[in-house]
Amino acid sequence: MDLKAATDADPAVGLRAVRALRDLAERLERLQVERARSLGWSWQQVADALGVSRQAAHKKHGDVERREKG
Amino acid sequence: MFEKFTATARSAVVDAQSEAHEVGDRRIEPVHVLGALAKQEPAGGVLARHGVTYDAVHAAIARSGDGALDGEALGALGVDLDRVRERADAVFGEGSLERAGRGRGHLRFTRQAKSVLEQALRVTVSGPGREIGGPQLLAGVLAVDDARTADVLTAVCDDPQRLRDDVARVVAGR
Repeated sequence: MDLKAATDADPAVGLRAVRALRDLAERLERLQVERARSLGWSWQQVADALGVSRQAAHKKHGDVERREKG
Repeated sequence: MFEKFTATARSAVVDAQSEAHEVGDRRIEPVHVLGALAKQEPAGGVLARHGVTYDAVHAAIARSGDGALDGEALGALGVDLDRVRERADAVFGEGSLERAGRGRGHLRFTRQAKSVLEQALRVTVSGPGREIGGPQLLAGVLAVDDARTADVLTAVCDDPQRLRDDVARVVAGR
């Protein structure tokens, strides 16, 4: 097993692999941001760690606290 | 059109969104309406006669949706999804990876799901009742040509044709 699938010559195989990675990465990002916020990280710290702007991080994950309570 | 819906039919439409959320789908499709109907009476009772229980439908929807992680594709990349899930469960809590994949907010109906409502109206107009209830919605689900619905029914229903006949009989008031 190696990283061949994501660079497969067949786009159908390659795209499926890319999508699978993205789906997993999105979920892990969500969970890590939730945890970071619950540990007291600021949106700026979260954004810096993700390599995005504070606005972008907040827009994408700003509802995490609301969800925790709900 | 919604003023013609019974209270249970309205709640089925609302529950369809919850069903889509729960399995991580991004649109409301006919199968989510089917799942919602399996949870309520009288449609659920009709479905149960043909082996279609809520739990079975729910599991089939979860398997067939875009909400499921692609373990096979990840495996080909050298990512062991089971191990990732184990670690995520340990750090973020049991089932966290599934929870993180759930949709949030308002979901839109697909064209096919809208067509379920139209078909339900059509069935009601040609039947004896004036209101669109659970069974009429169910007839709508069965009337729409939708591949995912067909797959889910094939997986959970004893005999889809007999289910169709039974639903047609119920909405005709026979």
